[in-house]
Amino acid sequence: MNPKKISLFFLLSGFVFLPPLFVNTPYAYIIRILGITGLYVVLALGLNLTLGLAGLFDLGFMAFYAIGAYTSAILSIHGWNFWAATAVAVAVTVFVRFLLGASVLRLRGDYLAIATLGFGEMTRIFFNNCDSLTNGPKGLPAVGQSMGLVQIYHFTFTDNLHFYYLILATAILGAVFSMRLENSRIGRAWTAIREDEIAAELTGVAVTKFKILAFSVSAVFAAVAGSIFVHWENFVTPESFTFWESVLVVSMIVVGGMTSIAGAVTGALLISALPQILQVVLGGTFIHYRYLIFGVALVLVIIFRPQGLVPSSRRQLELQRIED
Amino acid sequence: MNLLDARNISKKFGGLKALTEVNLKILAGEIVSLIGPNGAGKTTFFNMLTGIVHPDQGEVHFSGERIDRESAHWIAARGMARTFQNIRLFAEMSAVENVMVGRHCRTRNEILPALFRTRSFYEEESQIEENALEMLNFTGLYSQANEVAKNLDYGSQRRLEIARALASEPRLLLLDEPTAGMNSKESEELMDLIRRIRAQGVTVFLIEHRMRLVMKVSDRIVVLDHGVKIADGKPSEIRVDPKVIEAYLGQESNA
Ligand SMILES: Nc1ncnc2c1ncn2[C@@H]1O[C@H](COP(=O)(O)OP(=O)(O)OP(=O)(O)O)[C@@H](O)[C@H]1O
Ligand SMILES: [Mg+2]
Repeated sequence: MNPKKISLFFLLSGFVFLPPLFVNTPYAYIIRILGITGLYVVLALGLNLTLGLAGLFDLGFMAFYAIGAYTSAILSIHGWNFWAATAVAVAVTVFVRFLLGASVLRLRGDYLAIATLGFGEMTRIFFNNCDSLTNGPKGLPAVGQSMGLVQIYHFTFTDNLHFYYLILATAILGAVFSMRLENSRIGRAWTAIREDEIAAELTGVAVTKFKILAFSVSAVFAAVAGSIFVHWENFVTPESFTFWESVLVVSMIVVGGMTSIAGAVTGALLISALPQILQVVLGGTFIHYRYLIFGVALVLVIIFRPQGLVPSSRRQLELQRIED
Repeated sequence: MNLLDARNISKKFGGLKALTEVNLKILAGEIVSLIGPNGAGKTTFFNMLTGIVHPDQGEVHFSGERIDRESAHWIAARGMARTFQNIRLFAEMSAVENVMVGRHCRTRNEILPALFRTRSFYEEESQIEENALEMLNFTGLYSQANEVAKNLDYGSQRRLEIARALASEPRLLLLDEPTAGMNSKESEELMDLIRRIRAQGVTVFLIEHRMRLVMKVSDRIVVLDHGVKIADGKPSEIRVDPKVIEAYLGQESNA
């Protein structure tokens, strides 16, 4: 085993075995923070496919988290079980994102950012105003309704630790799938599009098709995270999905290192977990300065380490054959 | 048989006539050079063949199929590959990955095989790698396979573009000023590479400024001037063609 694998092993063991030790201690809040961070990791991994790998500047990713969350919540309230509700939420979210992608992905980078930003706001306003479906700003479930439980066989997910493990498993699966996609014909096509769209097209990559594909696949991550989120919180309002949340996920990727899966995870830990822990430790009004601190950190990273904290490295092939 | 048949091609950019009623045929197995003064429309002609710009008038047929309304990636999949006057590599990818992208249109793996790492996924991946290394070897870049493209020297970058183009198994390879920025030894080597490419059965159509190289390597030379084809013939004929001397060689001796 190489050093990278060993440290990964210890890191994972830490995430698996340490959190139960916090149960019933004053540090129990850490489990919840880690769970929330895990959801951001899943989101960051999803956005990494479009923003990182394919280089599509997407400022409305939270809209798809919202669509996944609401679809799942509505189905759950109507008695669907968690897994079926999640599957349908994924299908709906991917479909909506596919439609958005098919209509806006022909736009140039800066227009794409505006279009996705606009879509994000539209989605939030829609959820806010579509009372009959979403109960508007009061959120779901409405009084007298309730969400279904998350169950595997006869085991029911009740406390934070259970959801933490569900999220950890999802994040690991997401990271493995991301890595497999990256190191494949599809991932290379995405990277080529990011590097030079015209050269990619002329090399035989159907650029528009592959952009729409990246866009659609990333929606799977958002929808799964959204579905878990509502079942854990037992509650969802449009206020969870503001523009700033999208910016937060973008920052995670920029700070961690565009295109790098380890970077997306690091970014999520730094930007989601760290401020929450600092808030508990420092208390007071720290949280009000959160965005200010992010802003400064982001600028510093862009100036001093534009490739991000954990940049991706290209896979190396073993060259054995002797040159003739 | 005509591998390429461009009939009566015209293209305007606003008021500028970039190409005017250009006719050109290329036989399978030829090395044809396209020459002409700066701004003559050579790159535009390449862009038009490869589907980046569509002609206002005229038709292009490529091994019997009409291609002038098709998209660039479709044309690439039909067997036309190219390099660029201003190098366009995938800068952050390694040399071998650049070439692997070149294999894209000859391979099929989609999302599910990639996610679940099926047997067919591994088989295809190893074929892609093998082919890419072969192309790097052919272009003399094997030992730099793992270098990030942007870190290669200029001459190697030009050859890497060729390796990437060859990975798609083209029938016709278009080279836009492949020796630009090279010293004379490197350009001689490049001409040698072009001959070896032809020996593999690939037809080569190149834009080249250095007359000495053009005369040596080409079976046929086509001359454009202000978007108009003014000559088309063997190097020996082009050398003494008065119109060419006036339009092109004349201009060069002034420079
Ligand atoms: N996309 C475009 N839009 C507008 N004008 C263009 C475009 N592409 C080329 N032109 C113009 O068409 C003319 C022909 O350009 P082209 O690049 O084809 O010349 P060239 O023969 O390749 O020249 P060089 O030897 O300098 O590479 C030039 O005047 C150029 O400015
Ligand atoms: Mg040119």
